[in-house]
Parts: sequence; structure tokens; C-alpha cells
Amino acid sequence: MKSSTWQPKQQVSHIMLLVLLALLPGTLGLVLIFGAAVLTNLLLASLGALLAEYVCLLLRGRRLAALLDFSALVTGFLIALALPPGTHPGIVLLASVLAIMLGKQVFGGLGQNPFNPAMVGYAAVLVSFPAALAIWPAPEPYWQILPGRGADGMTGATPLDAFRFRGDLSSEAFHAGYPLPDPWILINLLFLFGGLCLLAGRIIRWQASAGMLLALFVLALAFNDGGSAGSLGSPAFHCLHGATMLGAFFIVTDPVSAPRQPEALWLFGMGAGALIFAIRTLGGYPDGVAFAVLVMNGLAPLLDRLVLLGKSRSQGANL
Amino acid sequence: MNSEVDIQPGAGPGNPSQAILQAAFPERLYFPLHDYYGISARPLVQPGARIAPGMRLAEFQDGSVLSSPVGGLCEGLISGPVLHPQLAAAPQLVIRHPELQEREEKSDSELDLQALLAEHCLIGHGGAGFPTRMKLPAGFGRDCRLLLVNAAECDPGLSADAALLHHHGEAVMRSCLALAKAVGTRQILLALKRSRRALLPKVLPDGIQLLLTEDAYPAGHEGQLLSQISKILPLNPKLPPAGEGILSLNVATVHALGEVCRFRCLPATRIVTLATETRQINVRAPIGMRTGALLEAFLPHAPKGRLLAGGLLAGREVSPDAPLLWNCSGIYAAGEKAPEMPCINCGFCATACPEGLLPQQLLLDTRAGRETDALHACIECGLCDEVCPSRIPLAADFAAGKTRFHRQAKKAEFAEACQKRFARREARAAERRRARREKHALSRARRGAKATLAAILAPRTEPE
Repeated sequence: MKSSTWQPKQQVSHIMLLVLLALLPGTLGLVLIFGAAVLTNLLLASLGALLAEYVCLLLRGRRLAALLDFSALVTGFLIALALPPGTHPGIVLLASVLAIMLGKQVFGGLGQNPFNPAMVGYAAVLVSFPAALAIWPAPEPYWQILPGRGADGMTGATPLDAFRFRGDLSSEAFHAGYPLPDPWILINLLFLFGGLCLLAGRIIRWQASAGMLLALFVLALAFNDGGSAGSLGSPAFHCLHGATMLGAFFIVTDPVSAPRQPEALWLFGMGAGALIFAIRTLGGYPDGVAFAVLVMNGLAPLLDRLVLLGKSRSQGANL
Repeated sequence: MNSEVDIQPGAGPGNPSQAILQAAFPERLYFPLHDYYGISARPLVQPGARIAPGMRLAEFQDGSVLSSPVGGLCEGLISGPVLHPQLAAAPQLVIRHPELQEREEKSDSELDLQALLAEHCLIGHGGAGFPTRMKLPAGFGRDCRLLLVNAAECDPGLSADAALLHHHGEAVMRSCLALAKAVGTRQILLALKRSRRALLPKVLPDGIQLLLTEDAYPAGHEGQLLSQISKILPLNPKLPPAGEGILSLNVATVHALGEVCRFRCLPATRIVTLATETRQINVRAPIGMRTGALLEAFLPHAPKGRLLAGGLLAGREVSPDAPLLWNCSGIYAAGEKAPEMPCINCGFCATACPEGLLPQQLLLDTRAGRETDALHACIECGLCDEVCPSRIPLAADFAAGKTRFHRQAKKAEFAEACQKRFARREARAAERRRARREKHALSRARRGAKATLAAILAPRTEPE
């Protein structure tokens, strides 16, 4: 029998505010590297999400106080961080409005959505405007201008994207083009820090994050043939590039669209990790987090059932 | 209290050694006529009848009887809110001008506890209100290994049992010893919180042993006690204690049982903890008094809003018009509650659950009408309510679910019995019809044979 652990009384709004707080270090990192365009994204996406939530609550005849649970704001933030800075304002607004309306309110609002709303919005604009969203501005950290990074650099595509289309370059030669400190690694480390804070505060459950990172790491290790031209990328490359850490601690951990059983959460995370690896290495999109999470969201109830079935089987065997 | 409990939205410090206040009898007392499962009892008194203590008031479905703890005038039946987890309202017998008449002690060497409790249906004083009679068979006819007396009241909003031990310790010990003798066991285990050890004398009467528990909630719950005992005695803590030969009763129930044996009458009062966030007092209150009126009389400045019956964490929300019953150990004035929000599946409840359940999954199952093993493993401690960021009344939902499923099972059982009876009746009728047809066929055959015979035997008339 477990001993009970006590926590002070939380409210949904507190949880959402803490998530926003944990997003801050990574957001600051993005702003430092990509400039004020990140802030424009944040502003537009938050505005769009809150407005859509307000209209939906009004149409559905719900208490408008539900706006103050800040869940729409978290959705807006996640979309803003997922979209490249400098994206057309219309696309940012569209993504956030779609996220709230199609991703959340059509299912009945907070707590009812089967899919992660932010990823629904992001995926919707990603398939609609693939070209616009594949281009990230070249990282220009305000504290330094990286040498060897100019017009002939990787402008337009993220390292993750560039790595896949690197041609005959060995991965060592490819990485030489990205001297440390690589800004993308820095951003991932900042999101990792925020995520660890959430874990320490027991705001999120750890199983999904651990499962996702583990699967991604193991698969990258298995298919990394020591850095030849055919290598699919080292484990460290996969774990510290793209939206890995943002996804591991802020997206697969969305409790509503995740399974309930702890064992199912492991499977959920590992499935997401494996899909991210598959989409990154085989697919045509800049990153695979959104699609991987959406697919696993759809499988979440099934995973719960599988685990429950397994539990009742093993209990039956014990009797 | 340990540090873990301290960060809880607290109850005022309970001081069991303070004098127990006496509540005056109100103008009217209300006695709900429902049993543990919420099935109504059949009233046995007419409006206008004079009631004497010990008189039969109503008969439950299982044949046991609610007897009157007080004297007075029966005013009739009303329907009103009750303490039951699922019933919104139930019929209540109103007794006007109740009075506590002088009781004479009856001593009987031959005492049949079963028969006595069938005539005076005592319910458990711990909280759930299970009829004590139903627990006793474990001690009879087969060996009762152990009498477990639970005084480890751990809810931060309760100190009624502690006050009982402090003020009536000797009487409680006597009742324990007498009950153990009656059920035929020598082993008495008195469960007590470690911090309340000082309430009892250093040396306990021969045969009573202490089981000291942690101070944290819900260490005093029956299931937690059993798992603690299972470290000393071989037993399965997941089984009901009766199956293991353990008679497990709340300390106030044992005390009340002693009273029933002595006076052949249900106790007319019980000690109730009245609490707010800052104050806690113990009151001896008449059974059948409205909870709101009781609180108003002693804590007039208590916050308005929700009343929790049975403690702060384990308490269930109750209407101020619901009458006090024997199983209500405390009333907590909790004030207004934030509105319920949808479950976001955060999993805080799963971390808080002392039984290692997944309350969020259980909520889905229970609300969807699926009965699971986990539901019956829930001890309704209310810790999940405490940590839920969406303020969902999980424990109350589970309690209501349990009763609902039980009533459904009972109904299904009854329907099946009816169907079987109907099938038997149909079979009997078919058999009768078949017999009748056969008889007719036989007599027709006989008549036919007779006619043929007559035709053969009839003298032929020659044609002219």
C-alpha cells in the first residue's frame, strides 16, 4: 500500500500558469536567437486563441470565467513556439483559431479534446502552407554572429531539415558547419530545464516524456552507423534538435489527450518517440513532433484498453 | 499532527480534553426511515401515538426494527433530506416534544446480542453507518479471532472519538471487555493514533492491547488498520474483516452497544465534533436533530455554505435540514466551494490515493455506469477531492456509485426471482392444462367406446 503524498490545493488555472512559467526560459532563448519576430508570433497566437475561446464559450452559452483557466493561453503559446518566427500573421492567427475551435471546443471544451489542440492547429496550417512553414530564419544570436554562417549557410531550413538533404556529406562534416554553441541545442536545453522544473513540481507525469526521449535515443543509436553519409543522425543530434524537448515536456505531457494508465503513458511516449524518428528520417516535413503526437493521441484510448486488458488477464492468472 | 497534515486547509485544533458541551433537545426530532442501502422501512406507529423509549418505530426490509431512543408524541411522516450518500430525500418520522426519560438498567445473564440488535437496529458510529447486527455473525458460530476497536480517528476535522475516550474511557473499556466475552474472543486490539496515546491510562485492563497508528490521514481507516495487523497476524487485508474472523467496530459503536445492552434501548445522543477552519468543539447532541440547527446553536458564526458530515476530508456534503444520525461523527462548516470544472486528467488524484487507485479512470467508469473492482477498493477517504485542481467531488461520486450499483444488483436479483416464480407458475398452469386435456381425451375416448359398444349391442330392428 502506498503512503499518501500531500499537496497544497491546486487549481486548473495555477497549473496552466505554471506551465506558462516553465515555457519562459525556452521562449526567452528563442527571442534572443531569432529576434522580436518570436514575440509577434506569441502575441498573435495568444490573441487568436483567447478570442476563439471567447467566441466559442459565448456561442455555447458557457461561463466566460472559463477564459481565466488560461488553457487557451497555453495553446496559443505552444503554437507560437512551434511556428517559425516571421510567419505570415494570417497563418499564425489561423493556426490558433483552428486549434481552439477544431481542436478543443468542438469536442466540448477543456478536458474533452481527444487530440492536443495546439498540434491540431499547427498540423492544419503545416499541411496547408508547407512551404511557408519549412523556412526558419537563419539563427542570428544577438550575442554573436557565428562565423561561416552567411548567405551560403543553411538559411531557410533548420539543421534537422538540412541534415536529411545533406547529400554525400558525412555527419561529421555536416556538424562541422554548425560550431558550438549551436543555438538550437541551447533552445532545447532551455526547454529541458523548464520541463524538469515542471517534473520537480509534479505538475506533469514523467512517463510519457521518458518514453519519448528513450525511444528517440534508442532508435537514433540503432541507426547511427558511426557518422557515414548514410547515417540517420546521432542520438544527441535527434534529442537536442528540432522540437524534441518542447515536445517531450510540453506536448506529449498534455494530460487531457494522453492515456490514463501509467503503463499506457510509457507506450504512448515511446510510440511518439518512434514516430518522430520515422517522420524525421523518412518523411518530408521539417519535424515530426506534431504528427507523431496526433497519431498517438488517437491511439491513447486503445493503449488504455490494452493495459487494462493486460492487467485483468494477469490478475486472472494469479487467482 | 505531523507536518504533512499541517499544509492541509486545516480544521481548528481539536482538544479532546475540553468539556463536552450538552445540546438541548429541540422541539422536534426527525428519524429517517431508510436502511444502509437506502431502502425505506415500513412505519409501525400512527400519527398521534405516544412514543416511549424502546418502542418499535419502523420495520426494515430485512426484518430488523428501528426502535425509538426517546419518548414523545408521534406527529407523522414527512419527506426530507438525509445523510445517505445517494438519497436526496427519504421519509422521516417526526417526534414532537422529545424527552429523555429515566432509564432503568436491565441486567440479564443470558443475552442474545443478535436478537437484541434486531429489535434495536444499531448502526456503526464510524461513518458509513453499516448495521452492527450484520457484522456480528462473524463472531458467532465460528471462532472470532479478534475484536478490533477502532479509535484511530484520523480526519483533521474530527475529535469526537478522542473526546469519548478521554471522558468515558473506563466505560468504553468495560464495554470492550463485555463485547469480547459475548463474541467469545480474548484478543482485543484498540487502534489509536500515536499522538493520542496520552488519552488512555498507562496500564490498560487485562486483555486490551493497543495498535498505535501513524497520525497521517487515512491511517485510521479500517483497510489501513487491517494491512497494519496483517504484519503481525496472517490475514489478507483485501478481504472483508469478517471473513478473517475479525470483528471490527468503531469505538463509539462499542460504547453504544454497551448502552443498548444495559438499557435495551438505542442511545438518544452521541458525541459530535462541530468544526470550522479555526474552531473545533465536541457536543453531545440528540439523534434526530437537524444538523444545521445544531451548528447554529453552538457555532453561530460558522461560515455559511456547505456542511460536511463526517469530517473535513472524509465528510460528505449534507443539507442543513438533514437530521443527525448515529453514524455522523462530525459536522464541518466548509463554506462555499469553487465550481466543479471538467477533469483534465492531471493525475494528481492517482498520486494522492492511499490505495494506489486511479481515481480519474474510476470517475469515468463510475459515471459511465461500469462497476469495477477498483470502485469497491476505494475507501472513500477523500484525499483525491483534496488535490483535484478541477474540484470534482470524486469520493462522493464513488460512494454514490457503490450504493447505486448495489441497488441495481438487488433490483436485478428481485427481477430474476420474479421471473423464476412466473416461469414456475406458467409451468404449473401448463401442466394443469395438459392434465385436463388428457382427462378430456380419455373421457371422450371412453364415451366413443361406449357408443360403439352400445351400437354393436343394440338389438337390430329387422326391416319390414
